[in-house]
Amino acid sequence: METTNARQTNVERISDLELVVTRTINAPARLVFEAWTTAELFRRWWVPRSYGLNLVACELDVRVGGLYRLAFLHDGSAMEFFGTYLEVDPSSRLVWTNDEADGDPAVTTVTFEESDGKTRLTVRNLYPSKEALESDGSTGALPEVLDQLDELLASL
Amino acid sequence: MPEGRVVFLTGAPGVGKSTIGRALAECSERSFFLDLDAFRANVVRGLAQPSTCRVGPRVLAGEAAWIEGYRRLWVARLDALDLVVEDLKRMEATHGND
Repeated sequence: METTNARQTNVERISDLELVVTRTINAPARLVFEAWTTAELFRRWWVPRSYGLNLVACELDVRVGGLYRLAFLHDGSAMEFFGTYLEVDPSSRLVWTNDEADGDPAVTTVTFEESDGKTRLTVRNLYPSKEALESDGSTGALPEVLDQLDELLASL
Repeated sequence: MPEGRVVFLTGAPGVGKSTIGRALAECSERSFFLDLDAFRANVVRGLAQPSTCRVGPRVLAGEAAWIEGYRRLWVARLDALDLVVEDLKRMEATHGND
């Protein structure tokens, strides 16, 4: 059974520095948490198939101070995302740094709130600056793609 | 008259082809954007000027397109998460809760 409301994903920029994504998942928090913290499960959903990215490495050492690393191949070039887990509170809260960008890291906080067997998922991305937020490659408008387009345009 | 250029943008749904295309078309009065999906029947009216403009995150930011890209990424991602979690629920129902 699917209701569009239940599956609705909300994305909001709540300040210059912070983006918030919310969604209700029809499962208890411990299962949703498991999907976020088990590499074999995580790699099945974190990179949407339609993005054409080949996830070649997915290592999640989910404990406070543990590291994660995601490596992608896209059109022959490699991209890496990596950082450190700052908080790990089973079935409740997960906080990590995003260390791949220069400068201070963006921090991602995920909370899992269960009620009536469903989980309210909130993902907060807090950036060190407005510029960092607006140039985040993972927001979908990939800066490197735009750079390639610039090169193409310059060569025309 | 300068030689005309045609720039083709291809890519997965939601990555920003139309946004970039429109931004490019605004670089010059002699440029235009043609969305082949929506306007297959349109007649090509003239040739575009070679572009000297740069397209970067700022152009897109002006249109808040990047947040739309971000939204689409998370919709696709969490739709996929739903499927994974449904699998977990099925497995639990089959094998019992341990």
